[in-house]
Amino acid sequence: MDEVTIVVLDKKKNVRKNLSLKVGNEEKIDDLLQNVGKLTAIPKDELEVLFCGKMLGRATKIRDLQLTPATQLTLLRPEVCSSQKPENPESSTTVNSSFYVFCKKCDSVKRAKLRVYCENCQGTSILVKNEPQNWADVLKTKRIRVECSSETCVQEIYANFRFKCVDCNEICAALTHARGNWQKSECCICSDENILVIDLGCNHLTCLECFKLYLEENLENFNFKLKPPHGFTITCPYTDCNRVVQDVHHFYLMGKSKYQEYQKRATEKLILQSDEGVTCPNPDCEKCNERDCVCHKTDDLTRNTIEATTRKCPNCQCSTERNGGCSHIHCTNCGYDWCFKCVKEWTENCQWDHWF
Amino acid sequence: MSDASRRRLLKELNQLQTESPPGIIIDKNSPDSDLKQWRIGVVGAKGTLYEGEVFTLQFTFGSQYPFSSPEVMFVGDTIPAHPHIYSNGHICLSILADDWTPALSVQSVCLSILSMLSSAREKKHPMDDAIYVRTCSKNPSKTRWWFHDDKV
Repeated sequence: MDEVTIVVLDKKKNVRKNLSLKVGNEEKIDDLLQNVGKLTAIPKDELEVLFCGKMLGRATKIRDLQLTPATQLTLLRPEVCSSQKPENPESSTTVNSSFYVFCKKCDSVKRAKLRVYCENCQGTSILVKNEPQNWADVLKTKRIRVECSSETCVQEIYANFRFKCVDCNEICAALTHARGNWQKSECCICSDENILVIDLGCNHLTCLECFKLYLEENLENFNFKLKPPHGFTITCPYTDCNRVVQDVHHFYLMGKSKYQEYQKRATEKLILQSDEGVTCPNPDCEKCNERDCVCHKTDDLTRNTIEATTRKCPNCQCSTERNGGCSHIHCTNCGYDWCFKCVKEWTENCQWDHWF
Repeated sequence: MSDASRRRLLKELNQLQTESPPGIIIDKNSPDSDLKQWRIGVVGAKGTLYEGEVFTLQFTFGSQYPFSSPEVMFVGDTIPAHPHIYSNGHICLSILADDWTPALSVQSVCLSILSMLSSAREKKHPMDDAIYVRTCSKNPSKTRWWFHDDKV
């Protein structure tokens, strides 16, 4: 038995009442309405329950709502009793879906519940006018219209969606690429059939553990590539698949400290690529903020040596030294493939004629 | 070798032994018991410069496999003369270095090497073969095939 806060909005008499009621997990909405009816003298058929932007079916089980003491249920008694017959008492509403988040409080991947609020008053006494159909509908603002029961809110108003960790209620960023492995497919790395997988939208499934190791391996050499608008990201581990992780929150799979390392290295790389910084051999040097610091100086001899021994990447102008190997240069700065002999893009002809 | 690496290698071995694709020969007793080193035969495809020739590839797997690439080289008496293969058996192939992804496998590496052999226009070793073979590390994955410097 858990206590929940219930707000009764009686539009017929224009009163609002707050109740605190113990509800058992095995009870149904119908039982709840009966109990509220006893306390408020409102016939249970005149009440509707608003939760998660939906009108709940009478047979919906309380357990399925994943209520916590912080949850607020709204019971609405409309001004005019709807002409329709009271809803079939057998119908239940599903509010459960498989969403996954990285919960910073629990420091791990958790299942999440989706909650919806009025964007204006942040209240939960709302009804969505149309169900969200895709990730954009819940991740972006002003996509789903709602009807808010609060007096202060106007008619034309939008929903705000939030994902909450089912274990600790922390508001978290959704992992849009994480999903259940309902087809029971094999992980493209370990070939096991694990329950939770990462799918970048290409249907190449990687289990969570392998994806984490894949990220960590790539963090070591910082193989993340700049792919606007997603930032520094990584492709699907499947060979030649160009799908990328579209939301950097997935890099939290490596844990908080490795995520911070990712952020640091991505920032450094961005600064270097946009030519706004120098790589300082002595980052603790106090003079380094000053222009005349020795770290910022390149004398003529150094410059001449660099010019004599390197060629510039035709794409990003990064000075590149070839101290062995073949003529095929893969620029680690910008990712361009070029020929050291032609100083142009690497072509089929270079592949055969300019190998060495 | 980690448990996960071992399981994955066993699956690959099992698959190769039951249905190996044309041109790939796997000896039933080939890998040693710890699965760390395998030898696989590849046969030059019909209508190519290497038609009917049999070469031996040696795979060595590290504990990070498949997250890190296997070390792959030609071994034995006959090393194919090819512009991307050094006479000591080292192979210059991007998927064995920077382009490796953990979804690649022993089979896909063998097939890439076969297709590399098939597309050769001339049977010769790389131009810097003599220098490379004299100076390179014993482990081909220690060779950095592409070289770059950060901005100076």
